Amino acid sequence: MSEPHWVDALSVDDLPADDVIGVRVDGREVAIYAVGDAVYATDNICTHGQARLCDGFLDGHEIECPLHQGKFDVRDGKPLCEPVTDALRSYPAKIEGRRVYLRLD
Amino acid sequence: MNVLVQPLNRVIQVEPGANLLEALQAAQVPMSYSCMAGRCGTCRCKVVDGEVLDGGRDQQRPLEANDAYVLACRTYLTESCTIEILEPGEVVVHPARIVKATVTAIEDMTHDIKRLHLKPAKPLEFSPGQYVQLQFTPDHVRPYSMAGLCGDGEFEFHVRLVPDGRVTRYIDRELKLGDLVRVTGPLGSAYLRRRHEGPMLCVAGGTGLAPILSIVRGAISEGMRNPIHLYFGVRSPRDVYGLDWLAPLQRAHPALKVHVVVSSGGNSARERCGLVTEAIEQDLGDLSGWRAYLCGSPPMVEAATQLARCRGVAPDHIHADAFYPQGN
Repeated sequence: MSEPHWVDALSVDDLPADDVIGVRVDGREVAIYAVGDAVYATDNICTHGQARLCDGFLDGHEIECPLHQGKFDVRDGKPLCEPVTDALRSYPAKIEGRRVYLRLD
Repeated sequence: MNVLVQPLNRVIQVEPGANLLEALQAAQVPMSYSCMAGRCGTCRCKVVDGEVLDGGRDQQRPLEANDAYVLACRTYLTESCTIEILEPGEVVVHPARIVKATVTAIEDMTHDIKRLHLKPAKPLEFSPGQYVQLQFTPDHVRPYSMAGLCGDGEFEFHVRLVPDGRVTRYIDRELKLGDLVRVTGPLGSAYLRRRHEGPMLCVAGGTGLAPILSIVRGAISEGMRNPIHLYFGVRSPRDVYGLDWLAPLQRAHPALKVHVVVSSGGNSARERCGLVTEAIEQDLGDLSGWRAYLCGSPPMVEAATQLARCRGVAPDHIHADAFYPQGN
């Protein structure tokens, strides 16, 4: 088994407090969420429409899509209400030395 | 199945059932859009020939109920047809966003108008003249137009306190500095057309001054040299506000002429009395080649639309988003 591969995504200083930011990591569009001291990551594109979740509204652990008001839990990508039914892919995320790292494999 | 796209005279291939906006985007047709959910009105276009399946009416535009207009994001293609896209040279694409904003200032402008400043946590791009939905609480939601420009770093809104208005009573009595407001947008198709070089007629009724200020500020900051005729209509002398902002704009742009018109209780020795539309009728002749930006109550917007059309402004060059009073 190879070591898990953590990719450097962005600086903690670029992470808005209790909010979401969109980044491109290894060619993938990822939404990174700051909830208190914790950090989470999912795919940035909504599973329902062509919207970016980084343009949506983060309330606690819930991200609301800007187009059709679907919501997901940012901790595991699970859909929480209509019209979204498919989960978002979520990625392990951690903070180390003031950088945010993601595991995309 | 083919769609002929005018005025570009381009034919694009589509599958039956395709969404019009998606088909235009896939063919890289220059096309304005924002919310993609039938709310903002930005992707309005005209069906010139053939039938389409219209998934929803343009809510902000019931005044000129012209059946030929559809919202591309709500329209599905069922047969070959001809579509006319409006102003391919004036495309605006601002992704619809929801941002958190903090109340940084609440000031009295008149006895019943407040100026509200909100600082967004993340930038929200918009064009001068557009509006957003402000959610103060889940039960207190209203649309308001920005008075400033995208680069200001803060939003400026003008709120008229409506007698017995549930939401504006909340703004008046409960809202305080530091409160968080949820801002959704941008919305609206009455934005500044930057490429137009002819004269501009800007008509504001009451707090309709906010989007008109944004349009004038935008035109000046873009270096547009158009003559601008701004008519600001209010009910009575005590409803006049904002002259301190208009004066420096006139100094920066001498081709900006400002006319304040008071509809009742005015003194003709001190101020111009009557309706804005009467003042425009007296002052201006043929308006061919002009653009009109109309912001205010639906009756004012309707009367000004009629007048502009009679005086020769092309229907597609009259820009107005109607705001209807919302129930409590």
